Amino acid sequence: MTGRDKRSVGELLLESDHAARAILMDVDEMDAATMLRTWGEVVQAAGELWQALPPVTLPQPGTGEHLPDSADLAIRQLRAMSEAMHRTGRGRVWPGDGPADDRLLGIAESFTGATDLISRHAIPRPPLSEPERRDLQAARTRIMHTLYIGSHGVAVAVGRRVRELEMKMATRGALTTGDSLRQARAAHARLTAFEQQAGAVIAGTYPGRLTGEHREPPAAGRLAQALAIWDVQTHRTLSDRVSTADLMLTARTQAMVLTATSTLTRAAADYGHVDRQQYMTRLLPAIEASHQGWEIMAGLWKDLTPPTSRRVDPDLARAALETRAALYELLHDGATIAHASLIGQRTNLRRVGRLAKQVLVTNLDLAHVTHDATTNPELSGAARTVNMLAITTRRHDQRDAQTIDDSPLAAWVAPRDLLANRAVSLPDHVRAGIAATADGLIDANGTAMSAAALLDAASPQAHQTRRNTERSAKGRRALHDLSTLSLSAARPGPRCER
Amino acid sequence: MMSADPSPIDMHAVHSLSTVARLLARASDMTWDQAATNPGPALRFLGIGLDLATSLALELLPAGHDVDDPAPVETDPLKLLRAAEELTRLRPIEDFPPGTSQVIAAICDLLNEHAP
Repeated sequence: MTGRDKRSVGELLLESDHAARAILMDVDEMDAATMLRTWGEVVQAAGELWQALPPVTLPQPGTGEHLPDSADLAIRQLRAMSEAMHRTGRGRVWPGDGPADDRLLGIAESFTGATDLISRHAIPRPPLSEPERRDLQAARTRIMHTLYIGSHGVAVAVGRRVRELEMKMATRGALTTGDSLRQARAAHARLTAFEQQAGAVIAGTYPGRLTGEHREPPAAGRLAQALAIWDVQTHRTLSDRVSTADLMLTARTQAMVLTATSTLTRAAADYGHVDRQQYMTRLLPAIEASHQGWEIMAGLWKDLTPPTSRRVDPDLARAALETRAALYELLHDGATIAHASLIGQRTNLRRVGRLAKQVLVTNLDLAHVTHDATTNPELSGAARTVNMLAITTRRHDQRDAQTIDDSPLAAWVAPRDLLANRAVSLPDHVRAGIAATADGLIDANGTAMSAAALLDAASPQAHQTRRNTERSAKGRRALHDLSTLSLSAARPGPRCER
Repeated sequence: MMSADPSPIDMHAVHSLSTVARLLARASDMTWDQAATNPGPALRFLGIGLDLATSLALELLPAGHDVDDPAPVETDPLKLLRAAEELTRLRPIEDFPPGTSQVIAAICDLLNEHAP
């Protein structure tokens, strides 16, 4: 920051916000260690800026002391967390010494510049005027927002590094000098706690519950847990209330889960852990039919959801988010889907057959829950779609006395509801049509579940595929480093942190 | 946003957030339309992410706020997603309802995951 810088405090803070967003969007191209090394400076500069701002609380009678409010306490905690992380990291192998991240440094410099600007001017003291109070709140919010977005970006980069190191460990059994899986995991857990703390303040829920829980490495365990929670939450939500938005999210999430399961199962079949013949001839077509059924249901629910009613149950959204995250973590490779070999490094493909069975059992159950929802008298739909379905359904029924020459004799939906596209109750024949679609879904899902029952019965060819795959993989590893392989098979090696 | 006193609702920011929700909803619909002819999971990951971001944005709007405006004409989900992110930059964060930071983080995450 130089004396020629003409930017105001507000502009400097806005720039920090935009820089933090840019980092988050480009985080895949950034180095986790470099970011982690620099993050402490950002938090320190943010804390100093916060300190330079006038207090928001009134002075205590007698002492004139200003007691901190909840956000003051939160920023102190964030500074303490960051300093502790920095202290712990000092002298450790990872992130170690090295260059700083320029963009994060830029944010720290903007904060420092703002602190300098404030320090050069008289600071207003409480009671503040209304414009002063608004300015102050705006500055505090921007600082906390930047810390939240920034910490999320660093956590994403460090999380990615953790996954890379886990893959290295899985393939080589040891890490190179300068890497530490344990330290990367610890840093990730602490950043996650930091992010949750800042997020709680930003969301206005401070001092809400801060779990700071450590995220498990990608494994079938996390996915199995996410799917189980998704199953339970879907039942809870759809039995508590009936909403086409919730039904749409359920159908779309199931469609995503099925395509992802198919990809996982194909990877397992490629490595001989699932009978390839059974997968190709029975399971794949059955999953595709089930998937298509969910997408038809999802399309129907989307059309029946008025634009004003697309918000879903937050608990259901959380469960869907975790399911998506667990699957994405296993299957993504940049913006595309990972090759089977990469998926195999991330998870135990031997467990995929059992996982696919679990998915397809839940899949059938959720089709029944969906069908039950179609019979709920409280189920309503967007007026325009209900009207269209009412006319179309009657048009196809030649015996219907209420339609002459393709035109209905009576309106199914009131014109004012049509105009506003409000949610209206479903005519019986429309409801029956939706229920029939859900019946088709149940049939398709029942077939898919039956097809999954044979997954464990790997054929002799599958065993042969597995033997060949393992043999060639062993051969490749042996060529690279025979001594490392034998060490890792027997006991943890010198740099093994499993 | 972090004050104990509830700030008055900035209707311009609410309108912007409402438009963000519409852009996200449109991006979701376009993604699911594309997914109908693409069997892989990538578009479905994006679709669910957009659905959840839409719901998150709608959750922040005052009860009864009408978002039934015409859908945007753009059909490219990533362009719609970028437009939503750019729209959140037009107003300072403190004008938006509490929780908007999470919507912005969700949008940036999706751009990071899916933008080429």
